[in-house]
Order: sequence, then structure tokens, then C-alpha cells
Amino acid sequence: MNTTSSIKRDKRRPLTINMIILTSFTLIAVTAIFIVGAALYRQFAERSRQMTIESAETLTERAAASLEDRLYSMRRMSDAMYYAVIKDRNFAEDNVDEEMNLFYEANQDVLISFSLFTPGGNLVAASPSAIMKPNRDVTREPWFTRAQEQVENLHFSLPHIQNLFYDRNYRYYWVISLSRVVELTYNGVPRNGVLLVDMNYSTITQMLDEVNSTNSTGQYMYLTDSDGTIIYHPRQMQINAGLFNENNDAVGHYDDGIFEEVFEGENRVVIADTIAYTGWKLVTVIPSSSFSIGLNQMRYFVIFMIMVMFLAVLIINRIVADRISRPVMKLDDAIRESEEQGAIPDAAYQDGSMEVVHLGKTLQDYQVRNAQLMSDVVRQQEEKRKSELDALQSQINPHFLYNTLDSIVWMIEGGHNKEATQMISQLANVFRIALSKGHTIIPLEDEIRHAENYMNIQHVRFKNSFSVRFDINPELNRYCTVKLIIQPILENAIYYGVKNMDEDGAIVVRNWLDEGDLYISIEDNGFGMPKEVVEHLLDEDRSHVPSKGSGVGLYNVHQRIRLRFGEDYGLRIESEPDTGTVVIIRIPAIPYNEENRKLLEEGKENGI
Amino acid sequence: MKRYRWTFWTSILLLVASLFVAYFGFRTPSTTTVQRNRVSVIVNNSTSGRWARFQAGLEQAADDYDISLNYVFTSEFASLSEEEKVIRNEAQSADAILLELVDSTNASELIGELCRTTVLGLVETDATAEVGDNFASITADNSGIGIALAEVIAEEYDLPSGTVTIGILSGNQKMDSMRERTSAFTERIKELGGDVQWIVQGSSDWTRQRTTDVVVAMDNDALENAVDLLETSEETPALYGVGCSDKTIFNMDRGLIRAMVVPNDFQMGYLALMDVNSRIDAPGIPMIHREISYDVVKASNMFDSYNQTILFPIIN
Repeated sequence: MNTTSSIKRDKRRPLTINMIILTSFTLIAVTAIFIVGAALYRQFAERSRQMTIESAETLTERAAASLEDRLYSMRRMSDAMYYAVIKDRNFAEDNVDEEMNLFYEANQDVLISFSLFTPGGNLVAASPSAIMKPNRDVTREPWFTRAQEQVENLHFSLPHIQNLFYDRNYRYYWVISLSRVVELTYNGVPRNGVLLVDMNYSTITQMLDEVNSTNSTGQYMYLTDSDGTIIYHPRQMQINAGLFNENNDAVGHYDDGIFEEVFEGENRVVIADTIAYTGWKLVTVIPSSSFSIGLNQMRYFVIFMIMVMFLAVLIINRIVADRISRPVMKLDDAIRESEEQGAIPDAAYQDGSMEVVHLGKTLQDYQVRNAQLMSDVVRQQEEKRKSELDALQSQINPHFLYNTLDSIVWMIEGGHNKEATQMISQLANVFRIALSKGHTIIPLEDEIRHAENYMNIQHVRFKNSFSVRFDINPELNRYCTVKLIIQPILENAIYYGVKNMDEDGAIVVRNWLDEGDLYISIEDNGFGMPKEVVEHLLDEDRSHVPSKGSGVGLYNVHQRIRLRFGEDYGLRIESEPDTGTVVIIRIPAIPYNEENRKLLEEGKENGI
Repeated sequence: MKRYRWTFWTSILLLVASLFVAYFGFRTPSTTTVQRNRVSVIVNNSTSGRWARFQAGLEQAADDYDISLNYVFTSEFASLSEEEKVIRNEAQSADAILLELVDSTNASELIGELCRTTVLGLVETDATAEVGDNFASITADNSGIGIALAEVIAEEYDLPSGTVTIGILSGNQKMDSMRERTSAFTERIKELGGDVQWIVQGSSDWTRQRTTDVVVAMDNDALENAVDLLETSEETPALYGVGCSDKTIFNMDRGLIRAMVVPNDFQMGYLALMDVNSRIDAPGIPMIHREISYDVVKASNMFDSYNQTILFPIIN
């Protein structure tokens, strides 16, 4: 498992410094933004909740004050009717219809009716004038009995349909009744009658409807009596139809204040305020959803601001990351460029922070020093190659000279002065070509001529004991060749091939062109060599090869060609014992001219 | 490097776009308005007092659910084809139609066609199974109403030990609901020992029929008609029936109507509109078929705290 993950980690492409800076800065900034945003949102939400509750509390207090004011005005009307009209009036002789009508007309926008009843429930007076329903026993009505039970108080009823009088327009009114016991005087005898003031229930519903209509967040206000029975609710009909439920039963236990409750799975804040004199409770309900409705816009705004800040941070971090990483990346680009092109840049990038400048300078110094070292190595290699060539060259000349001079000595001692003179002349030609003004690259024509001169000398020396034939294509004379590569092979062919063959020995020199390369073969029909000897003739270490000669000549020629033209060129030797030997020289076919000669002598041909 | 530049400029573009959105999103007031569901309500003789509480329920639901309510003004439809013209006209613009059909016996084709083009809610209309289940419906418990009427008469006349002769004003018998109501009443009253002397449909003058102890009106219009005839008639049969208009309530308060079965029309109107609105908002939900409750009211108890909320709805 660890191995696998390790392998995966190794394969992962490392991040750029720019990306590391950008990512880390952005992560830190975004985390900070989220924390600050969440804290601010939470603070705002809490503050918003407090404000909503405070606002609702204020609204409740005002609505309660307004309601109290209306109920107080009802009590004042009742008081006024009682003390100004009813009290001290002798009902045995007088009636109050006119005054009652005046009171009614002055307050008919809030009132449905005034009614005055005897202790037995008989109607004394009413306004507006109406026919009382027959057989109507008001003494059983709650408003009547409560007034009789507590004579010192004024009593507000729950909303109900007024069912005392007929309305020919089939109209029925929801009213709230205010009843009290009044003193009815009949010829000086006081009796406890009941004064009923029916207030139009719609005055309360309209007022509270208006308050509720100002809020669209789900917050609402309702009114109950002290037992929790609903007097007003914005969804009164839905409650009656069983379509909506209210926690009004619990309200009876609430004192004035702010409470949190859970009703039907919903958390909500409830503000209760008692209406003076009646004991009614005005209740404001703030469902938890109404808090979130107010916060939705804020939530979107916070999310939006976080997004904007994230983008802004991304851009700023991008700029900062660019500024920090640009020198490093440019330095990296410069290094990559030098790697790809294989060239030493003119100057490594040096800018930005102190560390990057130092790095750039160090790299620049390193590159310059490295280039110099590389140049030195190349130069040393070239010098080594030249010295090797020179060493090989110097191995040939004494060898050949010794043999030739030996032959000339032999001729002079034998009295063959003419032949000796001719040989010396031939030798002079050989040396002239060998010197070639110090050039190591000569035309093939000169090399062939050099070989012919050499063979002429050897032919004389060995008393024509073998034949030599130069089968040369003159069209190939003007190609380049390394000088003195045929003569050592001819020498080997003579000494190790045909020298002791009693006039049957033959040496043939040929040349040809094939696929852009120039071939020169030196073939003899001498004793040949076994395969194991042939295989190691061109090895540097030939000590373990049993052979007649040292093999230095062949190895020299092979090495010189390879050092000059490359590993693809050099000698190939084919030999069979008692059959003969063929040595084939392979060199590139390069036309001889001054430019090519110089290039080859400078070692450019083989890519050095 | 090119990729970095691309992301950089993309970020710049997004930032500018966000600021642009912020400017128009938070600075300018929204001009888009939420499209409210539009529901048309077509009932026979829409101005009849019979629909007052039903209409109050509709308006309350329209207010609660922010529905654009079009309570179509109609007079008494002479036939289904007359009503169909109004329906087709409304179907062109309404998202849903609440419909009381004057003749539900021949309306299968019309209902089937309407179901395919609009959300349909049937009020006091029983549709046959042929049209499938692609419409909502709401109706009173007609069998229950018929039985309740029979039982209240039986109680008053001490059936089955006593005797009572009964005339029935059966209303519009082209409506399944009315036939069901009449049938349930007839069966139950006969079971209890009542003697049904005659059954008169529509608004025919029943005073020419044989005199009975009791006249029972199966719908509000028939009951109002009966009240009007009784006002001028020398006959004084006890009047019972199904009703919910101000006029019938008033006459029950006067004692002219002995007892009345009152369907909860406010609830009917409220739920009917709520159901079709839900269907408009969520077309995949199943259609609901509701039966609403009723209340048996007499003059003696009509002002009870519960009954008065049924008879006299408080409209906010």
C-alpha cells in the first residue's frame, strides 16, 4: 500500500512555484474571508433577530395602547350614557330615547346599538330603534348575568352575533358587548337595570387587520381573552374550519413579555401584552421563518460578497504570485532554453529578489566556467588526436626508409649502379609524395603514384620475383585520401605474401566507387592467413595473434583512416591460407580541393 | 504560461461581471413581478345568496395563497350548453377553473376535454367515472345531508310512533348531488315512518300540491322559494331544508324555517381554491376529492358559539 502510494507520489507532477504561492495565499485568504463572513453574518442575524423582536414588541405595545384606547372610549360612552342620561332619571314618567339616539348617532361608526334593560330583562330603551325579537330572554345572556353578578364592574363580552333585534335586510352583526348594572329610578325607587353597549366588532378587526397587513414576513398578531379564547385572529375562519391551528390555549398562562415556544414543530417567538381592564391578551407571533425571510437578502449579499472577494483575492494573489515567481520562472526558462538548445546562453537571467539575483549570477558563472572547461576538453582531444596521427606517421617513415635503403645498398654492392640510381630516383619520388608539403590529405592520384614508385623499388629489390598490376580507374584520381595508406599494405603483401613464391606471386591494386564511398583493394595470391589471425590483425593488442609480422603497418593504416573519417571506415581483410589475401580500404568519396583538404586535416569530416 | 494568463483574465472578467450584477441586483429595485395563478370560478347564478359563504372562502384562500381570483358573474343557466360558452371563454385565460355544472349527467365529454387543457375543480358536481381522475372535486356530504334532514324531522315529529306527511322540493335533479341528497332523504324518512306525499323539481309552484305537514327543500334556492311562497300562502307547513344564505338564516331566526342543514360553504370555497392552486404549482400531485362537513341548525341553537361561526363567517 505504501509502495503504491509512493509510486503515485513520485509520478505526480510537481507544482510550479507560482501555483504554490497562488494556491496557499488564496486558501489562507479564502479561509479568512469565510470565517469573517460567517462571523459577520451571525452577528448580523442575531442583531436582525433582536431588531425584529424589538420592532414587534413596539408594534404590540402600540396596538395594545390603541385597543385600550378604543375600549376606554367605550367605557367612557357607557359612563356618559349612564351618568348623563340614565342616572337620576325617573323612568316611571320619562324615557331616554332621544338622548340615547343622540349618543348613538355621535358614535355610530363604532357602535351597533345602545340598549337598556330592566332587572327582569325587559327592554327600556334602545338605539337605533328596532324591534326586539319576541320571546327573547336576555337574562340568560352571559353579558347580562355577569353584569348582575359584579355590579361594580363593566364587562366586555367575547365577539358574538347580536341577536336582540331583527334587521329587515337580513343583516347580522358581530359585536363586542359592554354591559354594566345601572341604577334605574322609578318614582324615587332605584332598581338595578343593565346598560348594554354593543361595539362593532369590525372596529377591532379592522385595526388589527391593518397592523397585520403591514407585515409580509409571516409575523402576525391576535387577541384572546384571559383564558386564551380567541377574540380576533387574522385566520379566524381557517381556525373555525379546522384549516389552521393556534397555540392560544397556552397564551392564558403567559404573563406580559417575550417567550419562545415550539408549536407544531416550529420554533417561534411570542410577545404577549395584556389589555388594561379587560384582561385580554394581545399576542404577536414571530415564526422562525420570518427571521430567515429578513435574512435571505443578507445571506445572498454575504455569499455574493464572498464570491467577489474571492475573485479579487484570486486576482491580487495572482499578481503577487507573478511578481514573486517571475524572476525564478524566467531563470527556469533560461535554463530550459539552454538545455533544449544545447547552447550556452549569452547571460543567465538576473533580476528580482536578492536570492534570485545571487542564484542567477552563480548560474551564469557556472555556465561560463563549464563552457570554458568544455572548450578545453575539446581542444585537448583534438591535440591528442593530432599527436596520435603524428606518432603513427612517424612509425611509417623509418620503417620504409630502412627497407629501401637496404635495397639500394644491396644494388650498389651488386654493381647495379644504374638500377641503384633509378631506385634512388624512385625513392626521391616516394619521399616527395610522402612529404606532400606537410599535408596529410592528398589526391588519390598521388597516393597511387606513391605506391607505384614504391613497388618499382621493391620490384627491383626482389628481382622481379612477383608481378604487380595497378588496375586503377583514372576517374577516381581526384578524390581525397589519407596519404601513405596503400604502401604499408603493399609492403605486407610482398613480405608476408608473395616474396618467396618463385615468380608466381602477383599483386593487384584496384579502386572503385560504391554508394558514395571509395574502395581500394590490394590483393595478393600469397600464402594467406588463417581466420583467427585475420580476425585480430586490426586489434590494438595483437600479442596473442600468431603471425609472421608485427602487424603494425596494417593497424597504423586502419587507425589513421578511422581517426580521420570515423568508425565506419578503415580496412577490411579477407584471407585464406594458400589462397591469398585481399585488403580493402574504405574511405568516403570526397572530391579533392583545397577547401575539403583543409576541412579534413582540421578533423571536421568525422565530426570532431 | 498561456494557461495562467487565461485564468487570470477569466478571473478579471468574472469580477467585473459580478460587480455588474451587484450594481443592478442591489441598487435598482426589481421590476420583475411574480406571476400569480389565475383561477376562474363559474357557478350557476353567482349572485345568489347561496354562494355568499362559498365566495368568502374563495376570497380568503385567494388572499392566503396570493391567487388571482376571477369570480365570474353568471345568471341562472338555462342549460349546460349555455354554461359551456362561459366555461370555454374562461378556459382560454385561466390556469384553473372551479366549476359547478348545472347538468352533470351529460357533462362527461366537456369535463374530459377541460381536464386536458386546464386544471379543473368541480364544485357540488359529481362526475361519472368515464372522465377518469384528472380533476379535483369538492362537494357536501349529500347522503349525510339527506339523512340528517330526515332524522331532524323524525325527532320533531316523534317518528316512528308519530305521523308526518312530507312534500319535497328536490331542486335541480339534473345534478347528481341533488339526486343523491333527495334519494338519501326519501329512503331514510320512509325508514323512519315518514309519508312522502309529493316531490317537486325546480322552482315549480308546490302550493298546488296536496297539503302536507312538512315541506323539505333540498337546496338553498328551493328553500328561499318556499319561504317566499309561505309568506303569501295560507298554508303553514313546517319548513325544513338545506340552505346557507342570509335570507334563509334570517327566516330560520324568525321561526319560519324550523331547521336547516348548513354545509360548511366557507370551507368548501377555501379548500376548492387551495386544491386547484396546489395542482397548478405542482402538476404531478394527485387530484383531491373532498367531502365537506355540514351542521344541523335550529333557531334555538343558531347563535351558539360554533354555529354562529358557520352561519356568519368573519371576513377579514
